[in-house]
Amino acid sequence: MVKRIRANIARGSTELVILSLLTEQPLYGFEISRRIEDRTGGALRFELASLYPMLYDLERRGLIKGQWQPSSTGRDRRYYSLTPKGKTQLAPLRREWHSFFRALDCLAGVSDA
Amino acid sequence: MPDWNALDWNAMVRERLGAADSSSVQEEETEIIAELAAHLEDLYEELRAKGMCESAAVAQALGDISNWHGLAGKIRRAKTGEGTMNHQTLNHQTKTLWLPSLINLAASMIWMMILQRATLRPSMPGPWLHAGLAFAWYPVWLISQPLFGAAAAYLSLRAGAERRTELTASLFPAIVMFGLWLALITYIVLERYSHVSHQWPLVLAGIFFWSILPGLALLLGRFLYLKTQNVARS
Repeated sequence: MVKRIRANIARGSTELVILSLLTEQPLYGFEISRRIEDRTGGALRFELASLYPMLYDLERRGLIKGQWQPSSTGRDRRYYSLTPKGKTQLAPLRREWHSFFRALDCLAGVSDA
Repeated sequence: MPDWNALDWNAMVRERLGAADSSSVQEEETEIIAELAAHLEDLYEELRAKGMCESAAVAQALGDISNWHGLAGKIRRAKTGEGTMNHQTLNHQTKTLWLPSLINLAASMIWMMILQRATLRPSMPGPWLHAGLAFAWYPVWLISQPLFGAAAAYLSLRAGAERRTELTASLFPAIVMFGLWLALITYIVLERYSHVSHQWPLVLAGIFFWSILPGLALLLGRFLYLKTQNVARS
């Protein structure tokens, strides 16, 4: 059961991270993984094996959309951007996580740790 | 010395994901392969820019994915929406776990029966039918277990199993045997036969010969199969 909760947390947090990053600008997979790593000082790292299945899942659910475009190096890369449905979904998702952290803080004092 | 400038990342990904030849793959599959290949290419170039030598950079980029079959399965599930315990997930479990496991178990047991029928006859000389020697077929059966372990690993991985599922499928006959011996122990304890002291060494010997040893043999077959796969890829 604990493992399942952990998996659900990991899955939900990945979803939030990706959707949040894509609100700024369209990004391709490698950029997404590097940006996550850079911004969290290496605390979060998404390997290819977990990143792309998540991107495809979000795309299937209509939250993001992938499109091949030339990158800054001139090579084609699949850029992902947020769809209107993704934008709509992000706000409640953020609220959900905010409530979750607040609840966790009340119970476990994680913000003081 | 390989020509690293001519690295075909698409071909490397296609081969590892176990996709069909590019002429026949669906457009979606081709796109996935191209995208993963682009990611590995970017990773490779990043490593090269950090001063890593070419061969090490290729190895590290490809090593970023430890389980290609598992990745193929994850992508398929993400694309088809197999996230919850629905029909498709059950279908996936059947193909990656239950089918290879049951084939492994059935093949192992049928082979045991064939060997028993072939070797144990009433007309055989007395010693062959006595206690331990009645199991003259056992070494032959044990030696053949790696084949079943390798076959189960092959079937499971081909269906896109993750490492743990494939390991369970490979070890399935030994797991079932272990379960049966545990049931026997429970029966002995519940029926209060435990006072018969000579039973316990026999039970332990049974677990060793019917579960542990076959388990090790199945693991050996699985290990050899995975090794040949890795050699073929590199």
